[in-house]
Amino acid sequence: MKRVLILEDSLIVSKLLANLLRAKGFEVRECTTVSEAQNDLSNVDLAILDYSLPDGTGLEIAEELKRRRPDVPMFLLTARGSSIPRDVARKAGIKEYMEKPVEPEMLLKTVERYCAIDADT
Amino acid sequence: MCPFSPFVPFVLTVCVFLLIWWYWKTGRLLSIIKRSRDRFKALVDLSPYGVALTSKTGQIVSANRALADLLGRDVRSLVGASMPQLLGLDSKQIEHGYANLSPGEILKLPGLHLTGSDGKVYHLRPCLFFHETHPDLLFWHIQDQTTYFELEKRFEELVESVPVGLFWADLNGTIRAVNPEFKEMFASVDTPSNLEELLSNKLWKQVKKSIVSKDHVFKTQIEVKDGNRTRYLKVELKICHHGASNYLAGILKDETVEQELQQELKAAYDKAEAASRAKSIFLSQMSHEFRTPLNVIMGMATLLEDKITDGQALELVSDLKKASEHLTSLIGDILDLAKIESGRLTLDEHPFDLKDLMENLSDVLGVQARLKDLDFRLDFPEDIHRFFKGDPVRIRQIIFNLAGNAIKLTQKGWVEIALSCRDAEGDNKKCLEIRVTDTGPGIPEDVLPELFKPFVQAEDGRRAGGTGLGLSIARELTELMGGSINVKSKVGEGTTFTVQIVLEAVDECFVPETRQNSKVALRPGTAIVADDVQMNRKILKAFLEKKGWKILEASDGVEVLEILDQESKIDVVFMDVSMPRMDGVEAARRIRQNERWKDIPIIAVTAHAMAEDRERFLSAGMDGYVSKPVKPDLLFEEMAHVLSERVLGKEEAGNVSILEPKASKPVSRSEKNKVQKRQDSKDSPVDYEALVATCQGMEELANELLKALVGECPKWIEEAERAVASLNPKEIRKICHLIRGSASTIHAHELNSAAEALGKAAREGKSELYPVHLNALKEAGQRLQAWISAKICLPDAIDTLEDITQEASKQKDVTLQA
Repeated sequence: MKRVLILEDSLIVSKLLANLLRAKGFEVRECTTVSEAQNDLSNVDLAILDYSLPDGTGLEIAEELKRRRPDVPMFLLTARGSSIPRDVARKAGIKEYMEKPVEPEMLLKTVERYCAIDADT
Repeated sequence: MCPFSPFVPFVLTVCVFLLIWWYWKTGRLLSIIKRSRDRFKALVDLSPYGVALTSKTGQIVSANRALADLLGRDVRSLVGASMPQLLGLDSKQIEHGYANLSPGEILKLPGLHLTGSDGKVYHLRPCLFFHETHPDLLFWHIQDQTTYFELEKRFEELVESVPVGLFWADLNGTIRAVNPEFKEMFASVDTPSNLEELLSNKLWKQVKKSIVSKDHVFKTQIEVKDGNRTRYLKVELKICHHGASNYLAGILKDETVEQELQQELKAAYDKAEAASRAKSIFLSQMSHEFRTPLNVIMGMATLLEDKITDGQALELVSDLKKASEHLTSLIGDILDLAKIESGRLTLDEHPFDLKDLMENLSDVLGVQARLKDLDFRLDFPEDIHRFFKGDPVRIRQIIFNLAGNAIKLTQKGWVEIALSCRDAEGDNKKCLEIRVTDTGPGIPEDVLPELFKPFVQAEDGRRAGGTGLGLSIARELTELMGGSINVKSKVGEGTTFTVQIVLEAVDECFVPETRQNSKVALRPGTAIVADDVQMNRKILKAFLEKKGWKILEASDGVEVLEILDQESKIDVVFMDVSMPRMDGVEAARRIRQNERWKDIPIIAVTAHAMAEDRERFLSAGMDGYVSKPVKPDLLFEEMAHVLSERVLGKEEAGNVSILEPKASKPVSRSEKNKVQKRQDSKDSPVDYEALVATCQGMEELANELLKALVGECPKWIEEAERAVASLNPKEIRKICHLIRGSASTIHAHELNSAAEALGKAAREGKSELYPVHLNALKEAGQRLQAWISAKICLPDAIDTLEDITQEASKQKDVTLQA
């Protein structure tokens, strides 16, 4: 079905989101660093990217992904009160901007919505 | 010789002198007489009046030229003619007439008509008299009163035939003369003889007062009964001068027809007004009727979404929701449009923050634009005045309709809203111009004039799912505000809508508190849900229970009061407005009257969404309202607003977000929740209930996460110690951030808040607090690990990533099979 990439340095968060998505029938790949994610960006249909990572920011991957696969929707997870301007994120190609802690239901619904849109076009 | 002979020449001379003197005297006398005679002759001859001398029987002795001209005869030929005959008079009449005449008395004969030699008809007034010096002669004067007679005749005809009543009265009010029409108007009653009778005592007094001024025309209306009809007569009168005397002249005009027409008009107007009101009530009722089942559909669909895991079924439900959302907007739009058209939509004008409105709007529109990969820009220049007086809800609606349309119809490029402001006529008035531009397909020229009509849409519009009423409503609202809206478009390039409205700029200090940002979540408690329709209760209950609330149901106002009486700690009451026995408004009033409950938050849940209704709720003591169909996010937003206001008072509500979701910060009263289910969760380091909920009910997953936490926690503590030891605020903040990210996700609120405290100290540079907070963090970590171990009877710690993910994939197989 759909292949989702989760780039998140918190094990707990990554585990939670991955499991929830898998329960909905998605294929999930988890990475915890930017370099890990860099290696395989080809088989991705949707990307959920944490902003602050040990070796960089999620936006780097976002830009890379946007270049290679512009049709792939990307979400950015940031800490609450983070000051990453939305237009910077948007320029990098981010479609959804979510603050942590992420409400799982909301994330799932958003992911599904993007898949639905994808199905339409 | 004669003795007299010497005197003879002397006597002769004297005689001669006497003769000459006498002759001369006589001559003089004669000339005087002659002159006198000539004078009178001239007088008589040149007089325009016909003058004649006749015998007692009327035989003309002499006549003047005027008479001769009048009669068309030669002067000389008149001598001897019979005057009575010439004038066509009865000689007997004359004889009788002057027989009794005394000298000097003038006998006036009635006017007579004579056809002159020129064929014209003359009107003559003869009069005669005699003088004592000439008792056998009659002196005649004949006046030519033709012109006068003509005028009089014409005047009389006018007075007779004119279709208004005319009257003359003296200054005492006595009516001296009336024309036939006047009499006609009083056909069935007595013709009034004086103005007091005509007008009424009061009016006559007024006339007397005002009539002094020469040019003043006194106007009034009187009623006269005519059988079983009433005649309405307009009266106008003024003072007139005639020589030395003054009198009053006036007219009476029958305005019965006009009056009746006016009455009919008023009746028709009242009828139309009543019809309009009935329509409005109908609309309001329809609104209610439509929204109630829609509420059910929407609510059920939302609840269904949570229960379904199958992807295809989810899509179906999503379509169901979309369709009912569309229906809701459509109903809203139709009702708005109907309200505007029947003139029943009123603007709710008050001071508002334009910048806030635009930013809020931009957030929403931005999301929509991003979904289609469009750029969305808001151009709000810094120098624009920020606060205005107007109806922000409707202004927002206008802009939203235009921009929303733009986004819907544009496939690539951008949508921009640009604002500009310039001075306008009037105190503090500014002309606000809002331009919505898009790079969409553009609108063909032939469609442009029809664009603002309801349901006119280009193909794309329909496909994009609009209601077709957005532009109509935008235009009607703009015009209601006295503004203008127009459109420019080029096919293939894009479209620009320009809205111009004049608003009053106001000072900042008059703007009321703006809403707290709705990103806060609520601490659950106990609520009463009151609605006579079980379905509606069920929906609201489900929404609230999902967030951890305990719900008590009531089906009318009486039951609400009963529950309040029995239960001690109710946090909020949700009240439907229309319920049997006792409705929501009445119940709210009763609640407020009771000392015990006067602070309880009450939120109206209603299908009545009109502004007047809102006023009604608020004045009955309700704190907020949500309209049906109920959307969960709006519901919680309203709850957050109402509950924060109630507990802290209005000023603080704007500043403090006391409703912190999972942290156990310094608590305020509102955080003392009474959810029984959560009694145990509250005291433990992890809110287990919430965690399981987050895991969508998968307890195994929750446990897995807790196990992983046990593995990670020591590493975090170590990292934190290192950072504190190095006194590097950036490092401290980094690790705290990491801890918080994970802890908050799995509802380990104790750990979360400990990390927050340390991070805050680092942010504020308060290094003296580091040790204290670090210790708290360590303790929290230890407590957490102990609790988790106890909770899930931990086997030997799983501390490798692979193991954890393997567990997770096993998880997947399990759920898929299920």
